[in-house]
Amino acid sequence: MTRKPGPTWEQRARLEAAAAWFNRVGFPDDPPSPEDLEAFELWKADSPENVRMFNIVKDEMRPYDNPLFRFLLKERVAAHEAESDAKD
Amino acid sequence: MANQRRPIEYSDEDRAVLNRLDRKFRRSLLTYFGRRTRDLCDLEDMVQDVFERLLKRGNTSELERQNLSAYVFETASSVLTDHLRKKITRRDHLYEPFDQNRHGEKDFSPEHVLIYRQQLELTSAMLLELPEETRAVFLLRRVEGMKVKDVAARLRISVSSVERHMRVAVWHVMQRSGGEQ
Repeated sequence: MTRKPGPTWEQRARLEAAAAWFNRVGFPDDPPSPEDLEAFELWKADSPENVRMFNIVKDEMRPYDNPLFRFLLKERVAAHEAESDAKD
Repeated sequence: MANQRRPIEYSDEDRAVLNRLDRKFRRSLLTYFGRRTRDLCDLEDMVQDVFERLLKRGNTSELERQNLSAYVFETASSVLTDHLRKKITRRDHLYEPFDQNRHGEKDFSPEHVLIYRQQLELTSAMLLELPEETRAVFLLRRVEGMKVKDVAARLRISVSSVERHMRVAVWHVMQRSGGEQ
């Protein structure tokens, strides 16, 4: 059985850039500046791989768009934190 | 909410316990709640709820001799859960009736529910791996939907720190989910 090769440094760099772009433009209630938006469009136009990576990040962040998921997640994290605060 | 609270008559002993709890836990409880909800105006009430629940539970002096902080944070967690539930209830008017055409594609099969639960479990475990401040930033920004500058003000850090924490958090999520493949 052959192991699937890991990501190249180039893929990682692209993904890191995509994650950074998502943080700048991926929040509809906190819209980016026109300059950011223009820079983002230029970055996407630079390579189809950039677009693909950005879509991967967007897909990964999609569950957080669901209010029920956010609520349950918050509750769960708070319970774990309270448990560990109590232990300390 | 603060205006709706009815004044409670405390005995001298209760008042003494409340003062001790206040001195010892008030600040850490405000931080605890402040990092988990965007409703700043409710923080004081939530802290007060914790103290009142501990008082109602009784035997506070006994608890003080044991591991009181464990009870305090356990109670804080339940106060927070109740607060979040109330928030959802208050939004009941936003309830949308089921419409086969719009919602029919949603899968509520046991398999789907199980997958959803697993996803929640994995995501919370993943967030708990993050440093506390990074996690707090991510929760306020991505889960509470606060703006970058508001997160910065809440946690008393710079906007660039918020952005840095978010980069770390999103990168962590991507790595843990294997999204780099």
